[in-house]
Amino acid sequence: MQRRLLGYAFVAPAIAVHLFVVGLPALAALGLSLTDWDGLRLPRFIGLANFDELIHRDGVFWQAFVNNLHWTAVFLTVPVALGLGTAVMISRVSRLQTVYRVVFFLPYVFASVVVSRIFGFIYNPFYGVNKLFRNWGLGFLAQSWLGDPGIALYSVMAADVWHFWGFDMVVFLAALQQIDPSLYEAATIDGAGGWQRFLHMTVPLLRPTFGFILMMTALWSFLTFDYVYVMTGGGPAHATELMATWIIGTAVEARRAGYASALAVTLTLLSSLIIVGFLYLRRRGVEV
Amino acid sequence: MSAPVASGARRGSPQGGGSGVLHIPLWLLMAVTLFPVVLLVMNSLKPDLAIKADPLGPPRTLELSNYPEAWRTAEFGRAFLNTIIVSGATILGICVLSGLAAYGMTRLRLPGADTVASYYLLAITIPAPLFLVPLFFLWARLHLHDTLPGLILVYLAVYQPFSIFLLRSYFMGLPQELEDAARVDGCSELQVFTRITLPLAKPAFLTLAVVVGTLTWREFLFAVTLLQKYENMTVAIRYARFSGQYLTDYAQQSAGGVMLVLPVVILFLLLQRRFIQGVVSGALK
Repeated sequence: MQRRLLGYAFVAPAIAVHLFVVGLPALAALGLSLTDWDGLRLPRFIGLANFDELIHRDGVFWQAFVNNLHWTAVFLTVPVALGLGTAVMISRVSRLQTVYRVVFFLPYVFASVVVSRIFGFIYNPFYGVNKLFRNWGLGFLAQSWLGDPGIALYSVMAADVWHFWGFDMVVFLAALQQIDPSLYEAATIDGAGGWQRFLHMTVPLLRPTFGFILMMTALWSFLTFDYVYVMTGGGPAHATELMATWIIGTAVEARRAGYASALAVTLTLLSSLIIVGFLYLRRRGVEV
Repeated sequence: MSAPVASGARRGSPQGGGSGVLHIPLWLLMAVTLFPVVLLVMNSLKPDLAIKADPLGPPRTLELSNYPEAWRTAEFGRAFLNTIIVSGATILGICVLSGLAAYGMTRLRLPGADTVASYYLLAITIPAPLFLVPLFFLWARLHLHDTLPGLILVYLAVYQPFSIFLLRSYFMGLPQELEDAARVDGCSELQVFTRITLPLAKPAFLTLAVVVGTLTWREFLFAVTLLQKYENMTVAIRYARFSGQYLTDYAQQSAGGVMLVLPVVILFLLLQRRFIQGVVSGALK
């Protein structure tokens, strides 16, 4: 009995800090989303007016939502394919495994600000890759990488993909290394070719890893902030705006605490749809 | 007949197949991966005019003065001190808080330990803006806004779920006999924790420190939202501001960038195995 009480004493400090910083403010956001508040005076209860505004009059938020969906679609495919393909290749070579792993993971430890600036230089209309294209007589390939609303979002994504895909790679590689090699030997003896082994053994054995990566990627894609904030500030004309940058701007610059809370609650609802979707698929027996 | 030969030949490359060719795509991919890194280092060593005249060419002269110049313009001295304080306090605090919590959850047959675990699992899915918006205004009320302790407190909360799950799974794998023996010998729970479990779990704490230290070092969202005064900024935020003001001075910008990432890159290269294990540990059950 005493030991149980002691258990609470061990857990209490951590829980208290977490509730104070995350749990209770997250609950407070639910209440604040129903108010008009500038953070200074008393919050004024206005019912669902914030949600009315965000559904009917906040075009930027929905543009940001669509941008987040693009972001999610790219991150669910490009880094996953790159990471899996590379992990499979690394697991099959017998030399330099460590070198490859370290090099491909290296961008992940870079600060997002620095990655943003490197790519900002590469995208510079005059000094970056455009200059290279012009020198090679390929001037028609030169683009206004961050200035053209049609491609700016993808330019920013490319910087984050470069930074992030090594994470997927090391996770897949760790999962591949847990597979018993004798399984492959048995399949080889039975006459399975490389592609068959990949499709009918590697992929099914990696299903839980896919599930983890796809779900976390989808959640993280809804929270992306750094690259847009540093590289474009959401511009040009909100073409690269994401939900997170719009929400933080609404809170920090516009000081609209109530409205920003309503936006954040909506973001949470949208991202919990992802989780519900995954749980639904899992219950239906699809092993994701 | 041929099977044993085949399996013998493939030792070390478990999935078999002619693997030599695979080095070609891997080298190409390495070139693409390293290109931005090499570009950053090259630009940090060239005079700005040379970068603009020949953006992607190698440096003709080594302009080492970019580094002290960027250090001064960005006033990195104070910023590095801030980052070291924030990272150090976060590492220390996270190890204490998560260590105690994980020990309580795995060792003290805490009723509701599963509820605690579910709370942290749920916490992983809470989007940062949901608590950051109220927190931004709450921190202003509590005079924690624009202070280093205010930022440290946020990190102590947001890195908890990852840390607790990492330590919990490590503790679960440790043998209990030593701890039980210490209890029989009259050690209190706190003594068992600090004298028996902690030394046994040193590798897990080291992994945790490396990963949390790196995350804190480069953290952007909370720092940029909660720190305002120039003298309070961490290196990442100071760099964002400085490189935004000197947006077209690529020499200084690159030198500053190298200085910001170098400590973490060195740490990563020295401890890469532990580092990657730590990052992956959250992913594999």
